[in-house]
Amino acid sequence: MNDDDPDAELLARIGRSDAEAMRELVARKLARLLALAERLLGRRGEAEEVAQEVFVRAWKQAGRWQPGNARVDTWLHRVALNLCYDRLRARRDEDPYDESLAAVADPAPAPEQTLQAKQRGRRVAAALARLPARQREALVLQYYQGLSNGEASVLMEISVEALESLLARARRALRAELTTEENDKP
Amino acid sequence: MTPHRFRDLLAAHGADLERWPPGERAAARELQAQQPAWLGPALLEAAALDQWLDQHVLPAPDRALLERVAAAAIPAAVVARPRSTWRGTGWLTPSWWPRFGLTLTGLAGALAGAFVVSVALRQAAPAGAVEWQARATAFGEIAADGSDE
Repeated sequence: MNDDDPDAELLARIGRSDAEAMRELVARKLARLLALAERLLGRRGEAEEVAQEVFVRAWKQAGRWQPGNARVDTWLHRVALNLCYDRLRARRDEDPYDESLAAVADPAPAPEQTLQAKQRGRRVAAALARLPARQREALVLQYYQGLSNGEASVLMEISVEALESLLARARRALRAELTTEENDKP
Repeated sequence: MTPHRFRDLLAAHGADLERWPPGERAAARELQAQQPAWLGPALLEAAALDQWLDQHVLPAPDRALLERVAAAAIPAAVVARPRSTWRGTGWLTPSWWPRFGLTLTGLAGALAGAFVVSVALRQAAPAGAVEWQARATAFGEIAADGSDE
């Protein structure tokens, strides 16, 4: 068992068909994987499908899990990323950011101040969606998911230096889009 | 740390040193402490973008989604086994509670329906006919004293 991995024991229990452990893993990781998929795909509905499929695969593959190879969290990210790649490939000809679909993410009406924050959030989402896929992926993994450079670069199968280059380019593009417009205060 | 390296890391990771590689943070703080003239504007620019990025907040999954995802992942044969309630997850209500509620609702509806029908029949039919119906069964009419006769 990997002592440094807080999720390793949970996955081992899932490998023994422990349904309660699966529910706990879902409670622990769903928000995180959902956020990853939503920021990469720009669509809540698709992100939910991806997150659900990650847990379906986790149940099926948990019995073959090898502790020590990678952290469970990183492995779940790997599965989610692959599912996102599949979906992004399938919609190459589509608009990268569909406002009407993304709006599903805002289920409740909000006070004016919150509404303004949500509008800014949607601007960031739209700007993220317009980034080249690899830049967006680097930024989402490192900034939003909080993965270390080492973990993110392994997931993306690139060097740490290449990751830093992608991050810098992503931030430069976002800064140009977000902070140089008329109202550039977040 | 050289100013060039600091700028590279700032460009990649933003103004919050907690997001920087752990091995680089101490040297970065030393350089910050020297307060070189170029540092302030560069940090402000990076912090402004960080603020923008932090506005992209996503809604947390609700309980229905949590349950749906778990239900999809766990095979039905495993779910059929007796299990305890959600615990340690904020899902305090037992998962059978909604089904129990639905069952109660259905039962109440059936009783109410039966009552309405019985009242309607009593009003529509002569007393003798109702009396006969009350004693009739699928096996024939039951005698008033409950015997087979």
